[in-house]
Amino acid sequence: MTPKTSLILVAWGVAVVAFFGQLVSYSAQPGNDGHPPVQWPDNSALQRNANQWTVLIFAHPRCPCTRSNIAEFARLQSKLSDTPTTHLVLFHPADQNQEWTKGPIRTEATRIDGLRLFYDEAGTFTRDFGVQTSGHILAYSPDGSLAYSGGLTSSRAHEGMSQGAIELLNLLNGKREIRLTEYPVFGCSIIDDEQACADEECKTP
Amino acid sequence: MTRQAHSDRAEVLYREQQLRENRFTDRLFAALMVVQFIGCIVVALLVSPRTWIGAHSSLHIHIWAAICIGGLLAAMPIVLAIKHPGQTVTRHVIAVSQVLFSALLIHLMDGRIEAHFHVFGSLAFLAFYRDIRVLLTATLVTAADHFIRGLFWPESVFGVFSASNWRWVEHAAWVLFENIFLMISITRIQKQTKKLARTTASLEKQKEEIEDVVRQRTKDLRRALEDAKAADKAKSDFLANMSHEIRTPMTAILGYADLLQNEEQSDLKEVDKTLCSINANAKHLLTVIDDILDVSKIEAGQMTIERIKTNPTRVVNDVLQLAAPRAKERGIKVSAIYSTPLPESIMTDSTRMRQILLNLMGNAIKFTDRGSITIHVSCDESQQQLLISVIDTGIGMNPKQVAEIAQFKAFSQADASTTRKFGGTGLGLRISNALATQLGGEIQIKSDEGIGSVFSFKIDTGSLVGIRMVMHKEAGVENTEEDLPQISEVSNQPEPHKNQLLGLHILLAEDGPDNQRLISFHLKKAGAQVTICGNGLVAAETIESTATDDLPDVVLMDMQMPELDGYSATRRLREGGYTLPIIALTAHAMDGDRQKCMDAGCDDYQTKPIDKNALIRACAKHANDSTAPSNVA
Repeated sequence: MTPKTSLILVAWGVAVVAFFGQLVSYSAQPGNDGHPPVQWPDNSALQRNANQWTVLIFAHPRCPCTRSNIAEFARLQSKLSDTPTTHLVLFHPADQNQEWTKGPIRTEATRIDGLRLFYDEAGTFTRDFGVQTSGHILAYSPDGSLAYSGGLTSSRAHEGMSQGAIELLNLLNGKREIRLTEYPVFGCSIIDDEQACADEECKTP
Repeated sequence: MTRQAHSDRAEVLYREQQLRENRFTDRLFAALMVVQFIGCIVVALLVSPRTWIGAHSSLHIHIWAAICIGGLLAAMPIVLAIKHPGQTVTRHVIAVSQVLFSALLIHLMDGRIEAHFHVFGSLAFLAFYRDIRVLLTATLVTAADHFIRGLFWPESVFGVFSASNWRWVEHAAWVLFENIFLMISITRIQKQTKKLARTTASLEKQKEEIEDVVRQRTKDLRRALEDAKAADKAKSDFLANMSHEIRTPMTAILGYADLLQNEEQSDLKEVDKTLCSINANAKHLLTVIDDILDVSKIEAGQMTIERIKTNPTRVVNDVLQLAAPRAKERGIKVSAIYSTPLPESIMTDSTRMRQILLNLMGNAIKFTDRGSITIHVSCDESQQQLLISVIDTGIGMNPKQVAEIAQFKAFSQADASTTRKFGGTGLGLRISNALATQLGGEIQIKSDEGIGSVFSFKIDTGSLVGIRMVMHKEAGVENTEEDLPQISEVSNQPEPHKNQLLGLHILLAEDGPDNQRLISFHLKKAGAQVTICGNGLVAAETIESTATDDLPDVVLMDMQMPELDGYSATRRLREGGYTLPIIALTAHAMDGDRQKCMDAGCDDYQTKPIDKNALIRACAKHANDSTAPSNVA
């Protein structure tokens, strides 16, 4: 092997490592955690079930990363002792109708038992609950207090059991005390709200 | 091929086979790299085409990752597979790229568990290289990938943000688990390939040996064919020469005989001249036949010599004496020079020595028009050898002719024109060389075209201890007759006395009427009473029916006769108790023939044509030797 070939190989190796590092780094970068209310907001159009857990899933219908969260929740649901009230809040822009939300996420969501779908025109619900990132799940206890806030995947679009999923599973099955647990969310920004960006440190995927 | 060479060849074949496999696998992977590159882009487009912020979207980073990282991973192996196919670096870079493609694909497919099969499929594919080190490289890269991710982004592979520090080892162990089976498979294939290489090397060796044998046999066959053609041509030439050599004197003999028979000859001098011509031609014919017999003995390896006490000077002088008349006819001086003292006697075959010298002298006279022919004789006492050279001032030969002659082939002369111009059978030199070889050394030839030739040979003298060394003066035809010793053959063979066989009764068993007449004429002329029997049976019955007192004194028995041949008749007589002397007469003149006659019971042996003097002397000798009282035991 000539020195020139060796040099080219080294350069190639460095480039491969750099690109991979960039990719993995991107994948491990969570979205904005937002500021969900620790108590169910009284003025919300969404109804809370006072007798059981209420789970809200906020999603951008076209975010590829969110599919994993939905799939993970569907998987998690099969392990629950009692089915919670689950709402899927699906964003669509103000200038688009509900047809815009059609896609893999809406299809995947049909696997979740008892799910109620709410079309979130222009992100009204999303703003009400202080959520920024698609795939964000909020679990409210029957008394209306927030007990879980975060995603269910350990990196962008990466399926598989995560620590967040384990926490939520134990919470809903009553295997741990009710206290707020937060976990990173990996997904696209649901709303393009300059104000939101001004309030928060906006992180685009 | 030695054992080491065979082993080396097997190693070379193994490496060549391995190189072919590596190049083939390089090409497969180059194609696979293209497919994987395109596949990654397609997967990215299907799974994560765009990323969103509200209602706005842009191209997903996975698309760029598929293009950039996939392109990087595919490009280097493809370039190396084209530029450096079969090389170690190529397959190791391919191994690195392949497992990184697995990582990329898994990533682009959102970590789906099914995507992990790519890793195990890749390892199986890398096993095509039959190189355990390539698997190790792939395994190390996989382990390193997991180790680094475990350190910095554990959630990307282990699903938790704080995995155990040794979790990567578990992942690598699963890869190793597959590698174990692949390594076993590779080791077995390597062994089989090496065995195949050894077998191929053996087959190559056998093929080489067979080809060598075929080549050698073909060469031998070609040479044999050439020899056969040459022999065939030589024999054709020989037959043509022999026909010429035999027909020429036969023409003279038959012609002169016819002349004597049909013409009325009143001039006795003319008759005598005619008879001399017949005699000379008959003798020449006999020489030709003797030469043919000698050559056949040489060809059959049956030429034998005897070593008896011989005076070399006498032999040389005899030859000079015999050659002198022909030399004088051509105006050539012949002489002998003795440059060193010569032994008074040596142990050699005088007949064969004389035959060699006569042949060389005959050739020298034939090819010399003027000048001289000299026999140069010297003795090397330390080597116990005589060196004899026949030096002429004749036409000589060019180097090509010398080379041709020096092969001493039968029926071969310097060139075809020699035969036409000078005649001869081409047998003399062949015979002489064979005889010289047996007597002491091959004939050496030196010649300059137009100047002359020198033919030399050596004669082993045997031990010279106690042998007197004599310094001789030069001898030649210009010397007086007294200076030259008398030719022994002539001087020792006095003309038989006219009544040498007077009173003897000789029974001649001979079937040829001409020979009956000729032989009985000579016997009767010598004073004998002759009884003729036409074959062996008549001879045996005649003797058996004769009273003991009237039995013949000598029986001359031709060995080839009708009814009962001479061998059977002699055997019958001996078995019947008859001890009378029986002398065999035969035209068979080969060495073994004499012994064959003796074995049959004969007392002596005379060859045809009959030498009348020798025959009469033999009859007289055996008649005298036989005891008078009774010829019956």
